[in-house]
Amino acid sequence: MLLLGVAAGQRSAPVAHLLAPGAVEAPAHGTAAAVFTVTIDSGFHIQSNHPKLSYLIPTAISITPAGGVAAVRVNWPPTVDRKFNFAPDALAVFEGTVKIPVTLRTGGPGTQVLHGTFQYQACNDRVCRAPETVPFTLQVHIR
Amino acid sequence: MLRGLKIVAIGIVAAVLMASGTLIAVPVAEAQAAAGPASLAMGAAAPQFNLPGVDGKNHQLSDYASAKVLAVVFECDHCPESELYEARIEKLYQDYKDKGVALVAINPDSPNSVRRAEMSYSDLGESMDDMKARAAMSHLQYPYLDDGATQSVSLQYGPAAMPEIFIFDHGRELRYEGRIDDNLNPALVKSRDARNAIDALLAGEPVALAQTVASGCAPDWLSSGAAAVQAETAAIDAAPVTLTLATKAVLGKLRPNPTGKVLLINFWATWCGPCVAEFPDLQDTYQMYRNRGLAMVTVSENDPAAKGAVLQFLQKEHAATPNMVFALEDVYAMQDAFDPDMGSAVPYTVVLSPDGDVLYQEQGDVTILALRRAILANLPDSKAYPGIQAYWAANSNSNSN
Repeated sequence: MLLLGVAAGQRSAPVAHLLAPGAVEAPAHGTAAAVFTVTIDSGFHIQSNHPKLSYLIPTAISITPAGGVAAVRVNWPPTVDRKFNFAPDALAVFEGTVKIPVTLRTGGPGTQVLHGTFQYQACNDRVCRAPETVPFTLQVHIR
Repeated sequence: MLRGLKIVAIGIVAAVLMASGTLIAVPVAEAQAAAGPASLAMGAAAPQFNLPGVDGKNHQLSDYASAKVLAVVFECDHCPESELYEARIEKLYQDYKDKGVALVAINPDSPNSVRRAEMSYSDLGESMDDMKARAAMSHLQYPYLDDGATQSVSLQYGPAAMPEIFIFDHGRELRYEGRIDDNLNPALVKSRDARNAIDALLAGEPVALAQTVASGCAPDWLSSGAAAVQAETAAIDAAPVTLTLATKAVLGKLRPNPTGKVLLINFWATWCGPCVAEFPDLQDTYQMYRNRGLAMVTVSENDPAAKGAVLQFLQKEHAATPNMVFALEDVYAMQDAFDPDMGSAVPYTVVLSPDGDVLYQEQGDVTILALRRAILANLPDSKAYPGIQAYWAANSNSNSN
């Protein structure tokens, strides 16, 4: 597994840490789940994949298809409704540790290396960090 | 006749302020409308009042029936003369409260009748919450009552300037009306007119000097003030909103402060909730102090590709300040170009002296009163209001909100 979260040129320590599944076993011409784990520092949150306010940047996982393997669905976990001083209504956010299963559809047998990015933007009640894009690679062993 | 003298006095003060650039000229008709109602006649009965106070209670005239002498002071939050007299009014209250003298202060101003440009010597406006914050900051113990909703009490008393004091005898007939003393600078006071009147009444003697001319801010009567506020808002809303790219070179030159003025810089982004929430207060701050020489710049940390969305937000907020957006995507490199010590999160707000010294900085949403007090403590002092900078310097570390 690869622990990622430090983007190039970042000055402050990241507050969200992505644990990508380094390798996934999958049946040929079938589906498999690649489970990503995101741990968010206490006191911070990252926006949901579908924020309630239009100006907020959604959390997203993108995977480039390769060798017949493609991500067909990101199974987002439930969000938490949290009230902050800066917004009149509660926002839908991720906090703590969340697991994000991504359903992969496979082609023929072999090993494929997929490249993707995890995008997020973190805030606490008073400050926001710049949006981050964290690259990852995923090995899919197809039998 | 004294009312006419008051109007002349106000006119002279206004002329001085206009010459010093601290007052916007008002057409004659508006000035006459703003002159307000006739002042209570000498010997007249104290008009009734039943008004909410900053202590959370309602205060009415009958609450003070047992006092030998009742002093009613008209003052407000935004007026520099009122600010400079706060301590003296508090001392008057404290010195006489155990001698059978009651003192209440009434604020005739409404938040709907005071323009932002008029608040250039204040950190806040005239709402009840503002009055409570002012009382807390200045440690005011006397009852401070809010008449801003309808101004109905103030219209009966007819103060011409603030602060102005009306002193009633035990029968609640007016025996003194006018200034508290004869000099805005407490070190130069020669005639303590209000105290002299109170002492005379307590001794059962006639008041030797029953009427004087108060100088200060005229009340902002709703009859004319509301329209003035709307006109100010319309002018702000109609002003063009600009947005330029902030290159590393531009940011590097911004940090040492090339403006020659006190400079407020706010780093923000459209994706930042706290930034969006505090933005209107920061723009109001600019409108309050720009005529006294505050410079302000906003810098968006959005991706330059989002320039359209940034401009849309600025237009919605009627951001009259010079506004910039980062010219490069690398947020951290751009932040470093401004100041490697500025921190990586937004909002980030810094106030710089004309020499580039940091007078105030905050990573996170600002406490707006703390920011404004820091600015007020560093704007140039005024000959018209000697001691006003020291007043704010003494209060700029106050956490009373």
